[in-house]
Amino acid sequence: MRAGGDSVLIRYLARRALHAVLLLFGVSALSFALVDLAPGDYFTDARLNPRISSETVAGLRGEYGLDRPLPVRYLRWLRSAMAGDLGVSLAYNLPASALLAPRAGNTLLLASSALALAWLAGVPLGWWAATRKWPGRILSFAASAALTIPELLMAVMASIVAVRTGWFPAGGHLALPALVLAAGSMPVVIRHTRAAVLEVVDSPFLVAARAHGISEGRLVFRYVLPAAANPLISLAGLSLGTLLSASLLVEVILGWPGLGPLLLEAVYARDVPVIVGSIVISAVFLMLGSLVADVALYACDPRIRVEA
Amino acid sequence: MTGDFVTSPEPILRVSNLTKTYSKRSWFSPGGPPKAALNGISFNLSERETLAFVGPSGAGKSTLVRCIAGRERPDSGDIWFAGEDRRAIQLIPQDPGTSLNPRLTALQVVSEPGAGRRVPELLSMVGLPVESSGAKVTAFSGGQRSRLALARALACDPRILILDESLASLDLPVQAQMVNLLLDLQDRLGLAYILIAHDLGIAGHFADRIAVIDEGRIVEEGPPVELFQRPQHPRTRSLIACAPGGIPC
Repeated sequence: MRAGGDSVLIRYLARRALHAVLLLFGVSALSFALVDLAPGDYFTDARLNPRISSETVAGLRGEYGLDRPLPVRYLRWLRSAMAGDLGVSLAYNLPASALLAPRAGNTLLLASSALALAWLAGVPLGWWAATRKWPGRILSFAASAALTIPELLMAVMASIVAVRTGWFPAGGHLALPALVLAAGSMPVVIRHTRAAVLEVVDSPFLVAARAHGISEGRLVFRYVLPAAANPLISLAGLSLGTLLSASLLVEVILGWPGLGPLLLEAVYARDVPVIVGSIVISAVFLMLGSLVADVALYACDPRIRVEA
Repeated sequence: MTGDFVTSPEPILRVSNLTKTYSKRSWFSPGGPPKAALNGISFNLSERETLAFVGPSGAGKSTLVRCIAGRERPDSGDIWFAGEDRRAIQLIPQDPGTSLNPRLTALQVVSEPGAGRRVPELLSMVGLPVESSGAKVTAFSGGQRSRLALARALACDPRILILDESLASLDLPVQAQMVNLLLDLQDRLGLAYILIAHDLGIAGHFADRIAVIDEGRIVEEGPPVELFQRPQHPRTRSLIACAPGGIPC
């Protein structure tokens, strides 16, 4: 029975890996096409410089392969990317992967710190809101209201508070961007936890278990939490993705050396290898988050194992 | 024929003048007048007796059994039970499968109420193989889940089992097997049953007495044969006329 379960899991993971590879192809091709659609390229500014001849610019474009048609450039990039080489940054004249790796590590550190903060505070608050009628409704309403504040505004406000009060280092420190990102995603965690717990509290199997005289502590840990975990695990996987996208802007405003500032510079400079590399790395993070969530769901919920 | 009635043996459950009203008011609408789900219901139940409540949807049957099982508080009236532990009144809901935690195994489900070592005995009592005790709830069929819910109820050493349309979700052969099993358990353990049914056919086969309930009141009550042959109340006559599989007489 165990071997059968393992083979089902392996098949499931293989299917997910195939989906991930196809998605990465799509994401990278689309990024290439969209960057190409934007007017100009890295050498547009050089063309406007009277001290650089048009022959020199043409030579440089040729050297970096920018004179080739889009499909050719994409296929060349794809071939080298499959070997782990994301191309050479036009702006820095360095391998894009060498530029991206430390920045991606910083972004991952920021996103996972924010994720941990948001969930460590959000789940107990959501539970509290589900077990108290009016205070719970008020907290849920406040969480909905907090959802309307964009992370961008929060980051600006946090920056002002940090400068005025001196409570936090204003730039380059993990604490402030992590707090801003956690504050941005915590309302979703609170609302989802509350909804998941409320749904389980009314479920027939919990009503029946209570009628069989099972103690409240046992009900919480054996019935309520495992049953409420499913939507929350899925949400945690998605949260990583939303945190990553939100972190790009927050990093720029609060001076965290992650992918955000690098991507912004690359977009201004039309540094295609860095742009595409950043997007592909973000997509990989998103897929990994979703995959971890799916495997956790698979481990927690027997029904998913049957369906898988 | 309505209201209080007494059966010959000493009752183990006595319900007197039970009332329960639901308000339709909400924050956004004043609603209509409150709806009386139970309107002065009284009856007695003896050991080894099966009493069926039949009636149309919204007649108050489920409210009645939820009050008896302690899941809802009546507005007024008395429920007297010849036992100190209310766990001796067990309710098996409409879809028994949904009352089982899908994450648990059969062993965990049946042992949860404190059955411990009795699990194999309880499983075989309801006709489930003892070897299945390690399987998750999701591995059981609908009929087997009903048996599992029954085994868990038996783990509480009940004196009264309330079957709130618990057989309705099963197909006919499984329904018949469950009825036979319940009759056998009644014989062996001296259980009393309160059966809630839409289907007069099942109630006729299974129950010693049938009470027709309408708008929160018992409008007619009696042994099945008597009730089917000489129905007095228009509601009883309409239920007999509408019985999908006919009535057993």
